[in-house]
Amino acid sequence: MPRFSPQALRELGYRLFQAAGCRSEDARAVVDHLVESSLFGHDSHGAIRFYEYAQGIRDGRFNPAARPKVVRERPCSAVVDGGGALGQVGAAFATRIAMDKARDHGMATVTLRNTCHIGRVGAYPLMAARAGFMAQLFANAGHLGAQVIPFGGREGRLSTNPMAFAAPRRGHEPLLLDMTTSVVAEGKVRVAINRGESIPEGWAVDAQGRSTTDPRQVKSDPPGALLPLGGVVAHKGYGLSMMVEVMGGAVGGEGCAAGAPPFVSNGVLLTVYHIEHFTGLETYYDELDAMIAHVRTSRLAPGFQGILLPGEPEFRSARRREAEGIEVDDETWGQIRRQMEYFGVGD
Amino acid sequence: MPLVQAETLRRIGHQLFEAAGCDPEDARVVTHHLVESNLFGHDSHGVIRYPEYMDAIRTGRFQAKAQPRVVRDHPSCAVVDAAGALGQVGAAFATRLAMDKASRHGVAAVALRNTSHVGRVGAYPLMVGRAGMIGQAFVNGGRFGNQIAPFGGIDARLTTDPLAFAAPRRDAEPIFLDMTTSVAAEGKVRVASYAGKKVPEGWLIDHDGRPTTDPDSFRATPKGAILPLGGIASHKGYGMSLMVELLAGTLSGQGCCVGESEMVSNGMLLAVHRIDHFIDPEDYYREVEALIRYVRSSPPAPGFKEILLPGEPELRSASRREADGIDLDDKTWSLIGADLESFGLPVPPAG
Repeated sequence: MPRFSPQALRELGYRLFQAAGCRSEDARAVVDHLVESSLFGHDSHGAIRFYEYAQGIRDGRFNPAARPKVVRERPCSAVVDGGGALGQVGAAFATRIAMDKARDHGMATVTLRNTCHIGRVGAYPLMAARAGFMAQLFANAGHLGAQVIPFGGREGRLSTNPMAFAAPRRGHEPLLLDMTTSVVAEGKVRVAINRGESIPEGWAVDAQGRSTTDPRQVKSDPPGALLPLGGVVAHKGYGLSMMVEVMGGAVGGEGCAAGAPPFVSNGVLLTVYHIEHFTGLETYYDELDAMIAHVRTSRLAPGFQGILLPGEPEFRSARRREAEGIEVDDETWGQIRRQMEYFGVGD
Repeated sequence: MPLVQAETLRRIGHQLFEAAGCDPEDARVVTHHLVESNLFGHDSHGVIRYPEYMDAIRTGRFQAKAQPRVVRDHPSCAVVDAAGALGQVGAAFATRLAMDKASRHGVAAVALRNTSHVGRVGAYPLMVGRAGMIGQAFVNGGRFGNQIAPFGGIDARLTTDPLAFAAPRRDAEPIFLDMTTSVAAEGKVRVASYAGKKVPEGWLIDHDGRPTTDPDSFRATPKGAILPLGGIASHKGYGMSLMVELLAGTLSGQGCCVGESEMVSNGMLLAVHRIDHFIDPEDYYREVEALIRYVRSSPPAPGFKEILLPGEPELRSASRREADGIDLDDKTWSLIGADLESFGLPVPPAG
């Protein structure tokens, strides 16, 4: 299994995406995003996507030269059409607009469509929180939607429909929640298949709706499906998933789950809050610190070394992998190499 | 067990709360909220509270005449201090304010504090959804809270931190979601405890962190904890709980969970989106209805007859109980009767 320094992986990515037709700053936005996903330990949204995005450009699904544009605008809201740009390019554009509007008006919402795959959805609230805002994002998969069963059903009808939230902390990286409303992200099943590993009980069902630990059963023909978040109360994960469909897909304008492949674009809705329109910034930080201190007074569960905040595992992983390098599984590396060969980029 | 028509419960509620000093509009807001809880099947949050609220007004815990006021005001956001008003009065005020702002600016967020208990959180997004806009609510318990274990811990440190959402449909009641970010609401554990029943596996741990189905272990000394939502992925429920604490507790000024033993007031954030500032409503409704048809096309899992939308079980219960009446326990009905008599109001016959 090859191991790369993050910088080597970035350089390789810049060359691949520039050869595929991206402007240098767009290649940088996309590659830095994907490598940060790997640093965070989210391999399912990391370098594994290099080959998939490159293939998307080859197939004409992603337009590497496209520019996002604002198609509706008011003081506290905007609608962005990504123009088929790479998702990270469209989503970063939308996030900057939402931050500017929220700074002036206290809160703002920007929707984004026609922008392909925005990657790790937590990246955009994180951008906003690093700039001192609170932000919440919903992203569906447009008309796709066949991976996750609805509560009470046994066939896939919804996408993994992630949501993300980030909030600034005093003297630390932000609190960062980045989660699918299914038990697990679809990419984690793919990683398990590529590594030849089984998956935990409670993640998925096979095509007959029976519980399975074989990740290949999820991707078989006919396919199995992932379960909505919640375990004994999975109606809640299903409800959250429907909320994401409405916000990201119906309001966001990319459309809702209809079982219509192929994937075209995420539908995205991002809301940004400017804390000082509501309360004093120091008061905010004091409340947050007091709560964190309180939560951390809990005794630990067996097998845990500490009570971590949402996002803390990711920031710790980033520090470790920045030093030790990032492993890319053989299957993924083979696929990336084939794309590099196609675009005439040497190792 | 008396069977009482919803309309009767609303009428006597108006009379009671007006007699206790609420102005007619506030009496209407509180009464409709509580009766709707019964209609939705959530009897523990319904008219069983009439006597409790009457008592809270008599003892000065709820301020019947308090008027919520806006303490920070911007075009698309505001902070409301409800001055100790009944929770439903403060929350309905904040919701109307957010809808009014969103009508003009497309989006709005209103934070609310000092409002005692807001009751059923889903009620406020539902108001928004019924008015054709999209509502989201986040509610914490202020600095109160020792109910839910954080992920990785075994001691109760957070509250049930609910969130709610509603979105309008064409020619149908809204889709609405009203959920705690814990596996179960604290009230459900209490109900099981009073009834001497077990709770399902996956809800609770005892004081030593061991899984248990005994609801009394949650209320024991030393106490156990309810688990965050998610089962094998309960870091997600824990993360959502902290998100709710921040959105509801910090922006409102009510504060975040630090383990105080009494809840003074909920903190709440209500966000409203006006659909046509983002997309042609025809496109919105077409997509939502297509989504619903598609989701319902999955064959049902064993033990299920059909796939319901979030909120549909409540709305079905409401149509049934609006027609058939609401069966109340004798104790609740007699307490309500005693309150009516104490104000010299007539007690209607049940049925």
